Amino acid sequence: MSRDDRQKLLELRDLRTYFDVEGRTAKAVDGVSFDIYTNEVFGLVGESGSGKSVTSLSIMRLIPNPPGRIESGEIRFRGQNLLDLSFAEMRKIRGNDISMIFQEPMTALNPVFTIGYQLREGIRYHSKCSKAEAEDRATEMLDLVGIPDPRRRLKDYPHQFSGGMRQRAMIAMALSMEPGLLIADEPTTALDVTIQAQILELMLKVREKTGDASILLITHDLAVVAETCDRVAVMYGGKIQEISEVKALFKTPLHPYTQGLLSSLPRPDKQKKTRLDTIPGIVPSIMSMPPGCKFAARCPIAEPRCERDEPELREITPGRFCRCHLVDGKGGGRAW
Amino acid sequence: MISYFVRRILLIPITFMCITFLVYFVMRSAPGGPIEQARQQIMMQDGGGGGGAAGEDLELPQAAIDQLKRYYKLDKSKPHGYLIWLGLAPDEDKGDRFSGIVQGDFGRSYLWSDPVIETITSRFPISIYFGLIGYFATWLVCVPLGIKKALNHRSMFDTGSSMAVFLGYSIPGFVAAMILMLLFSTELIGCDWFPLGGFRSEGWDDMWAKGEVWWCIKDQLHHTFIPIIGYVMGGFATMTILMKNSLLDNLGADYVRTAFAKGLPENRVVFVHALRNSMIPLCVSIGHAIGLMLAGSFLLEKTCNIPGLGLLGFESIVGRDYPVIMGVLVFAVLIKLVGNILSDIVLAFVDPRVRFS
Amino acid sequence: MDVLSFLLKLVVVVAGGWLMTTRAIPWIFVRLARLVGFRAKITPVTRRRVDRFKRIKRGYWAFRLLSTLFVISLFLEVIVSGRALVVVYDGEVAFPAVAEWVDNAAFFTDVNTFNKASDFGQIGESEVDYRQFDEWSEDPGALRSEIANRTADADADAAEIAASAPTADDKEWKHKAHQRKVTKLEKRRGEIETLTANLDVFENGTAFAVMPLYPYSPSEFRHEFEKNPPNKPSFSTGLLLGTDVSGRDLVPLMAYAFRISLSFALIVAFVGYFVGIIVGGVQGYFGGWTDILSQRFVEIWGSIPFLFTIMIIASILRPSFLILVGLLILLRAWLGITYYVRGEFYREKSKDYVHAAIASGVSDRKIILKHILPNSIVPIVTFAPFAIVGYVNALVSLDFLGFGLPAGTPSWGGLLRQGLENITFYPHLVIAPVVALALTLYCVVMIGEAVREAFDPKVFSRLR
Repeated sequence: MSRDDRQKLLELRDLRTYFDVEGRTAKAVDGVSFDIYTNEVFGLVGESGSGKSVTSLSIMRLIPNPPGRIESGEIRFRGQNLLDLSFAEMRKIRGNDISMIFQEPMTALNPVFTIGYQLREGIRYHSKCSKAEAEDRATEMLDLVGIPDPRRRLKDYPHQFSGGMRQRAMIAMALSMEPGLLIADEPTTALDVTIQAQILELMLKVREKTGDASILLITHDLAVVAETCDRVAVMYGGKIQEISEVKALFKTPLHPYTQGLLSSLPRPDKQKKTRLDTIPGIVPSIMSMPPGCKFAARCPIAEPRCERDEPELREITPGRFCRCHLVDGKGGGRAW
Repeated sequence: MISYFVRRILLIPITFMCITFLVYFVMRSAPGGPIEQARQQIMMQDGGGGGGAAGEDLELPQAAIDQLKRYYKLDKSKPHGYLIWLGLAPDEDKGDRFSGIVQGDFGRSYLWSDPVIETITSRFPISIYFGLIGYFATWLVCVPLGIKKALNHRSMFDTGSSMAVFLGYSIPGFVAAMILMLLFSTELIGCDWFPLGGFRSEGWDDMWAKGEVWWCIKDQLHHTFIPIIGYVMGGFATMTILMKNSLLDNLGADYVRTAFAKGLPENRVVFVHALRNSMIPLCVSIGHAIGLMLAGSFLLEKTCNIPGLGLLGFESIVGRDYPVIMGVLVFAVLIKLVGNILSDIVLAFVDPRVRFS
Repeated sequence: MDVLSFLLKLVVVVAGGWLMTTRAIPWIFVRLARLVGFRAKITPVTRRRVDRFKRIKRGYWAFRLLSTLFVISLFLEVIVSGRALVVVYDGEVAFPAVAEWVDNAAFFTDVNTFNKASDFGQIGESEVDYRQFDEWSEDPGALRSEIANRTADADADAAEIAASAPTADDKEWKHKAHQRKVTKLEKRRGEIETLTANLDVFENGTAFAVMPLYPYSPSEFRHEFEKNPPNKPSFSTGLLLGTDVSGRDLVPLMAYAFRISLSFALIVAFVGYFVGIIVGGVQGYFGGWTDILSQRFVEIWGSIPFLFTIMIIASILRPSFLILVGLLILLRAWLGITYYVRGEFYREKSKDYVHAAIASGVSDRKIILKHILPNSIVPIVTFAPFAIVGYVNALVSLDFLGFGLPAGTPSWGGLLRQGLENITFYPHLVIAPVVALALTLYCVVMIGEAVREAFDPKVFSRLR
C-alpha cells in the first residue's frame, strides 16, 4: 500500500508554541509540520527539552496559559483546524477523538477519586450514557488492559495500583471512547524496564481492538521507535530535523543529529569493546537558540553558513524530509 | 488504621500526664502558694478591723499552717501530692478514697468555693458557642475568597484583596474586636450600634422565662456580632491564603491536565477535581483551629468581657485560684489533644491515600 | 529657629539611620564575616531570588523602611529622651543622653548618666532639668522672669512672716515655728541669689545645651497640664498623641514600644529557629529511634497551651524581658520550624547528591552544613517574617493580659489594656497602639509575602 492511498488524519502546519518566562520568550516549538495518517504509529523522537511534549500538548490545546501560548500554525484533524475551535468544541474532541496518555502514571490520576470514577467520568461526559452503562464499559476496558477482577478494582484508588497498573488504567481511560488518535507522551519512561515492553505491546493490542486509532508516540528511546513505529520524526531545538519511514531511518540516517543518536545506541552487530559514540556538547538553552541550524554547535560537519542560516526542511526523497544544508537528494542521501 | 487511632488515643494520657505533672511542679515550687494566700487574706481582714501591731499578724499560728499544708497536700512529696491530685493515690482527707481528676474531682475553687468541674462546665459552652460560630464563619468567608483569588491569580482583585488579607493578618483578633467596639459601641463616630462587650444583656434569663424568645435571640445576636468578627479576623488571613495556595498548587497538578485531556469542562475540573484535593489541608486545620479557639478565647473573652473558659482562666490566674487554674489547664490540654485526633480522623476521611502506620 | 533646629535634627536622624542601614551595617557584616573566615558564595539561585525580591516593590520598600526604622530605634536614647545630648555650663561639659545610650547598649559597662542640678546653674541635688536648662540658655529672659517670680513670692512670704511674727509672750513652739519659716525663707533668698549669680553665665552664652529630637523620655510624667491624666492629644498643648493614664507622653512610649516589640520578636525568632533547626535537623538526618522519641516529645510539647502556661508562669515569676524571651522560645518558638526542617532533611537526605557525599566519605557535619542546610533554607526563610508577626502579637497579647513585661515598660499591649478600660472616653489610648502595631506588622507581612514570592513563586497556568 503506497502512502498516498492512506488518508491524512492529522496535519501540523508550521506550529509555533512559545512560553513567556521572566520577560523573555522561549520558542519551545518553532515551526513544526508533519502529517499522521490513519492507522499508523508515528514516532516523535528527541532529547528532553527538544519540544516534543509541547508539540503533543499543543495538539490537545493543553498548553498552560500563561506562560505558554500557541503563537501560530494549523493543526488539522480530519481536515478541521483545531485552533479555530471554541473551547466547548475542543472539549468534544478531547478524550473522544484524540486522547492522551501521560508520562507519570503516579501523578496523572487524581488521588482522591476511585479508578472507576475517573474512568466513568470521561465515558459519561462524551456518550451521555447511564451510570450503569458507563460502569460496564469501564469494566470492559479494565479487562481489556489486563487488570484482573476489574469490577472490584474499579472501586480502588490510584494509590492502590502499581505504576504499571496505573498506566494500564490510563490506557483504558484513553481508549474507552475509541478515539481516532492516541497521543502517548513517553508512556513507559517512568516504568520499570520489565514492564515497559508489556505496556507498549498492550497499547498496540488494545488499540487494534478499539477502533484502530493512529498513535503519536513521543519518546526519547530509539529502540522503542524501532520496535513500534511506522514512521518517525526527529526533533531538535523545537524543530523537526528529519522525517522518515522507520526502516529507512535506521538504515541510512540523513541528518547528522540522527546519525549521532543512532551511533550512540549499543548495537549487537557492532564489535564489542568499542566505546559508544556520544554527541559532544549540550542541547542549547531554549531561551537562547542560535540563529542558524540548531544543531550546528554540536555538528561534526558544520560549515560557517550552518551557524548563520537556518536550513529548510526539504523533501530529499519521496517521504523523506531533512533539515540540513549539507544533505541533498541526488546521491540517495548524503552529499558528504 | 484502627490500631493507629488506638495508639493515638493511648498517647493522650501520657501527654496529659507529662503536661499536668510539669505544671503541678511549677505551681508547687512557686512562691505565693495557698498558704501565702491565706496569710494575705487574714492580713486584709485584720487590716480592715484596724489596730494591733502589724508585724505579729504576718505569721499564722503553726497549727493553722499545718492544717493548710495538709489540706493542700503540701506536707506530701511532690510526686505523691501529684498522684493524689490525679486520683491515682488515696486521699486521707476523703477517707482514703481515690478522688482526683481521673474521678472528675478537681477540688474546690478558692475564690468561689464551688467545685471546679461545675464552674468549668458552666463556662465551657459559652466558649464553644463563639468558637464554633467563629470557625464556620471563617470557612464561609475564606473558602470562596481563596477560590476566587486563586482563579484570578495576580489580577486586580487578587492584589487588592491580598492587601486586606494582610491587614487582617497584622491585626490580632482581639485588637480587631477592640477597634470594632471603639467604632460601633461608643459615640466616637456616632454609631453606637452594638453593646460594649458581655455575653447577654442583664435580665436575659428573666426575659427567657417570660417567653420573650424573639427578644432573647435578637439580644444574643447583638452581643455575638463583634466577638465573632474578632474570631474570624484571627484565622481568616491564614485560611484564605492556605485555600488559595492549595488550589493553585492543585490546579498545576498533572491530574488536572489528565482531566482536561478527557474532555471535561473547566468548571468540573476546577470545582470537582482540584477543589476536592485542595480542601484536604483545610479540613485538617479543624483540630488546630480548636486549639487556637481556646488561645484566642483568652484574649477575646477578656476584651469583650464574655464569661467563657478563657476569662475563667484569666481570672483564676489573677486570683491565684490554683484548683481552677489546674482545671482549666487540664481542659485546655484535653481539647488540644482531642483536636489533634479529630484532625487525623478528618484526614483519614477526606484523603484516601492516608494509611496511618 | 525652633522649627529649623527640629527639622535639622530630623534630617540628621533620618539620613543617619538610612546610611547606617544601607551602608554601614552591611559593610560591618561583610567585614565580620570575612574576619571569621566565612566566605559566602552567592549561588545563581540565591542571586535570582534576591533579584526577584528587589523587583517586588512593596515588599522591598517595606523592608527598607522597617529596617531603617529599627536601626534608628536602636539609638532612641539620643533621639527621644528628656536628657540633653550635650550640656555645657561654665566649663562643665556632659553628654547625658549619649551616656544613657552607652549604658543601655553595653550591659557590662556602668556609665554615669547623672548630672547634679547645682553643677549646671540650677538648684538642688537632683538631676538637671535639661529642658529648663535648654530654655534658659536659649532665652536668659526666661531665667530672669523665673528669678522675678521667685523674688516676688519670697517678698510676699516675707511680709506675711513679718506680720505674724510672735511677741515675747507667745509660747516657745511659736517662736520655733517662726524661726523655721525664717530659715526657709533665707534659704530661698539664697537660691535666688545663686540663680541671679548664674544669670551671668546664661547671658554670656557659655551655657548651652542640645536636646534630642523629641525631648521627653518614656519614663517621664508630664504633669504640667491642668487636667489629670490621661490627656487627650491636641496640637495646642503639644501632646501629639496624648498621655497614658499615669501621664506619660505617648510619643516616646510608642517609639520605645516599637523597639522593644521588634527586638523581642527578632531575638525569639532567631534563637527559636536556631534551636528548631538543630532539633529538626538531627531528627531528619539521623532518623530511627532518635527521630521517633523526639518526635513524640515534640508532639507532647506542642500540646501545651502555651499562652495559658506562660500566663501561669508569668503570674508567679513576674518575668523580665529576657525571661519572657526564654519562656516563649522554650514553649513555642523552636517547635514550628522543626517539622519543616525535619521534613526537608528527610527529603534531601534521600536524594542522590547526599548519597554521593556520604559514599565519598564526607563527614556528617559537613554534609549537613554544606549540602543539606542550604537546600532546606526555603521554608526557614519564608516562614521567618510570619513567625515575627506571631511573636510581636504574642508579646502584645501577654502585655494586654497583664502577664508580659514588667509594669512601666513601654508596650503596645499595656496601652491597649489601658485603652480597653477607658474606651468610651479616651479612644486615643486604643487608636495609637493599634495604628503603630498594625503599620509595623503590615510592613513585616509585606516583607514576608515578598520573600515568599521571591523564593517560591506561585503560578497560575490556566487550562481550559
